[in-house]
Amino acid sequence: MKNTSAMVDPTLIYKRLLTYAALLLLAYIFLFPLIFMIMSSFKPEQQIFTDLFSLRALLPVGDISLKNYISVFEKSAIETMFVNSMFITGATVLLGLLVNSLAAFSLSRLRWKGQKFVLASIIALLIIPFEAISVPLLMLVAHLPWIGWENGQIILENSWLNSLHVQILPMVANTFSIFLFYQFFRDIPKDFDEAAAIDGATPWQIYWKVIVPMSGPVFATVAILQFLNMWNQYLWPIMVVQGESVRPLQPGIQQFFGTTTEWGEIMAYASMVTIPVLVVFLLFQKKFVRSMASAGVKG
Amino acid sequence: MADLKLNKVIKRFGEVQTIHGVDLDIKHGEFVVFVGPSGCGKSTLLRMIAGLETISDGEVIIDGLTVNDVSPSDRGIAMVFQSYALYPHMTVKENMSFGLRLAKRPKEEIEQRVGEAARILKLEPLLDRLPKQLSGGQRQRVAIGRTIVRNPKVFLFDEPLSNLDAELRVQMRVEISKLHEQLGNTMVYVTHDQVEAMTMADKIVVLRDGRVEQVGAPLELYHNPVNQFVAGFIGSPRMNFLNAQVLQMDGTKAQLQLSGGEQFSMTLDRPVKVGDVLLMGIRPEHLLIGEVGDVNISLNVDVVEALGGTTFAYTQYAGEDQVVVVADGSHIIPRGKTIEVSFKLDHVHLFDTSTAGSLLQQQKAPIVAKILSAA
Amino acid sequence: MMADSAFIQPPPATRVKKNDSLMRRQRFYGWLMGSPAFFGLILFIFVPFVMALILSFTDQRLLSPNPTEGVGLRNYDRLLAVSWLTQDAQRDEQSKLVLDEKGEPQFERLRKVLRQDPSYKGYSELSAITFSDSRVVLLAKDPIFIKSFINTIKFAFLVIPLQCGAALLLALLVNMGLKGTNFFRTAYFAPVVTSMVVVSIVWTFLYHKDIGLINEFLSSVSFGLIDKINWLGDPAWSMPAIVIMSAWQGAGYQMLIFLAGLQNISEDLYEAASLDGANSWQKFVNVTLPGLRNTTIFVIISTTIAAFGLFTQVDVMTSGGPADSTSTVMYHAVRKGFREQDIGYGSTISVVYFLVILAIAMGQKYYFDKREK
Repeated sequence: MKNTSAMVDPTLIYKRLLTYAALLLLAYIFLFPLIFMIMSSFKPEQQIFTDLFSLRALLPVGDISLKNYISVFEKSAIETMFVNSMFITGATVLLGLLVNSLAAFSLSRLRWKGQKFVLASIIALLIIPFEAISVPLLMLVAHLPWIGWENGQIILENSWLNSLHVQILPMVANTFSIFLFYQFFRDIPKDFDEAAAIDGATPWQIYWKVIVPMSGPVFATVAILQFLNMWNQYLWPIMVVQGESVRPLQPGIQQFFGTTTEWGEIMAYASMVTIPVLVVFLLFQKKFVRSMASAGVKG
Repeated sequence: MADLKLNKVIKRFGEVQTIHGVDLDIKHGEFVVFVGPSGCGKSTLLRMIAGLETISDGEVIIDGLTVNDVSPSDRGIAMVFQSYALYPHMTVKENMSFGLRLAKRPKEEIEQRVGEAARILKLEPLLDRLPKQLSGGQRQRVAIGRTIVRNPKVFLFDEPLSNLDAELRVQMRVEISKLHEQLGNTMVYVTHDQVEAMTMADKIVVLRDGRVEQVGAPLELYHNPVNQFVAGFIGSPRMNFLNAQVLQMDGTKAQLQLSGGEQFSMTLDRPVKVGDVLLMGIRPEHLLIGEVGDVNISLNVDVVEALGGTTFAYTQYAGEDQVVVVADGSHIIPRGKTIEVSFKLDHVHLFDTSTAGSLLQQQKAPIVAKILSAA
Repeated sequence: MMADSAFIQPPPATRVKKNDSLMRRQRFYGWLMGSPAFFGLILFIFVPFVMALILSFTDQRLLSPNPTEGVGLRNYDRLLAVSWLTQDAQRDEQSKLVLDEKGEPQFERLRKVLRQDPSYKGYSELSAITFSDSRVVLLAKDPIFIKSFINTIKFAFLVIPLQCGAALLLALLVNMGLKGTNFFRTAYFAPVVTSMVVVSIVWTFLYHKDIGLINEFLSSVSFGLIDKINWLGDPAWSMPAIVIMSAWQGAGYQMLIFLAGLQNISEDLYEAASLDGANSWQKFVNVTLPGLRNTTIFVIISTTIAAFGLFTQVDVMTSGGPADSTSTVMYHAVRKGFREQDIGYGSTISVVYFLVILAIAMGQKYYFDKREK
């Protein structure tokens, strides 16, 4: 939506030019580190340094190759970590969509005793930042039992540490997701539920066949937010995962960063971690932006 | 098939009671309209019949069986919502067959029942469309089609025409009436529009603040309203109310005087105190131009609305509230002048000011019976 | 007449029962559908929260064979205790001040002083203010925590105006709807989708004293006047470095929120202002800013809460240094609770952290609510 009278009157040519100059300068500021990162990933380290003090830093010129990328694959287990991240992110997002939307449905479309209390409690939990409970949560999961599978046998483990499930399960139930679903469901007229009830639908059927199909936007929003959140997670994985086999990408790149000073390779690793997200972002730009804005507004 | 009976039905929301003991007896095949101002409880009552609101006390009985604890889908009802509630992600056909699909009915049965409903409402060409591709009137018909597919004992309508523009509303009114003639099921229809009530109903239930004011055929309510509220609610433009003081009482015959000094006498249902001021009601359409009735009064004309076929005149009478006159368009009513109008005693309504109850109920009953038997 | 074929016959009419089976069904489904989420929230958020409170009163270690003991408020004391003492400068036999090579007065070794007095047990130096012939030494039992706390506040104070201000500026520019708006909005938002780890790594490179682009840019823009800043190595510049980078990464998200807020301001208000003769600046002050009030409040409060959780950048770029100048509350908690396995103490930090956040959020809300009156 255009708002022509926000700050300057753009019909004046010089004001318009000034605005464009500002926009472009800011765009440069916000983009150049990323462009630099991607471009450098294709250059040998020497060239990165020599290109630094000119515009060449941002251009794909010179000795361009995929050498750095190949090095990364050789020097680290990035494939494993990539798969880990994908699995963790995917599982958390999918489970989260189901679990949190069901909770929001129960809170907003059904009527039962204690509902208001539960809703108020959830909103209260919203205030607790993850950081505040990360340490005791660590303590908790370190002593939780789990039924595992190793060499074809079922074994009982006595801790959740160093596993995939410790990175997934605690993250599934999410107060902000529930909040977003709740706000959206509340705006759906109850008429639909009632018509379905007259048609003989159970609440479960109403959820699946009526509400979910009508809630595309909010499912997309929650999915995008959780995807970003999980893909970029750092604090929790470092706390609960030591070994490489279940480590996801973010701690992975941090470790890589700590063990080498080959900047070309570091940039390649960084690019591999970032480019999938950037691509998804560019493709679904409009949705992304709208999702995150509406999430913030509802907050 | 379906009788619908309400037995001292009460609704409470927490501490507040909103429906105060409603009794109703609806015969099979009747088209009953619940009408009343906003907040009178008509929708709540309908939803209690449907099972969408719990019944705090009393019983709702459909076809002889108490349905208080029965879930909506098992009561033998179907409902048309004000917003139609058509599932936006399903086609017309899917919308109409939803209930049957949930009940896992065999495919041929679904095809046959949906097809028949579509035929009755002329929806066949629209079966594969989505609701957003339909016009308001078409969506309405799909909503009705959905109810027909369910084969209910009682059809329920919750202000279905409110979302349509005026022209479409008139059209749909006729269609729903024709549907009733065709199907013959019991239908309960909620509206705040008394024109809809008067034109569609076999029986009207006038509600106010959770109580039934009067139940009767439209013409019965028109000619013999039981109290001032019903008298003022039914009929458009609204009935005029004037003060009439009791000068003398002779048994049940009263000598009354209007504010302008005009006098006439009427036989009441019961005697009243001399000196009491009663409320006289006279409908705008019963004020005749010229001195052709039983009582003549003079009115000062303020505003005239000439619509061609009819003319509305807004007038002042003897310093009282505005008096509205509806006359045939052929009369030319001058603005700012005084006109002489008169009315017949048969058209006079009298109400006790303390109870607002009609004092002429019994008197009017035979007249109404005659009108109804002729209709 | 249509035959009714599809109905289950309702149960025979009995006396009205009070328990409505419809209500019961809703209650059943209500709990059933909500239980996975409720269970998850209770187990993974509520329980740890309670655990933090309890553990803060113990000496629990992460994985230890020793039984846990309750230690009362010892952890809190260890965390929060501060004190101070004064020292006189050392003088020689003629009562003249003894000065060292730099001309600074000398003082008795602090450790000796502290060890001598049992009431100073557990304390170490936090910082000192030196006067000409005496000094005041601030002591704390956990000077790193105090420093971390101060750092965190410093970070918040710097990043909030920078990030929110930048976000507002971006939103205003983008909202003008000039051609290419989509491109600009995407550009400003790109850093937000990038992980903080990646951002930290790339900016570590950019912040390099000698070959970093930031110093290069500064020196070229000022024609060599601005010296090369040792961003990540100089305690004075390390926090600002993190502030700038964090604002860079986060501004885009706040920009979106401001954009939504701007678009909620009715065009009518601007037109009415024009008719009243207002110029652009006046419109901004009288229409835009008031209209953005609620949005701004939300942005500030959420940025504050996020700022207090500062961890990732610090862990990746500076490991809390140099000289603990970038250590934050959360970093300290992870270091103590996780890396040093002192869960009891780590929980104490978490509890204090939560209380501080709560106090700030409520304080800010109170402040803003009051201003509305």
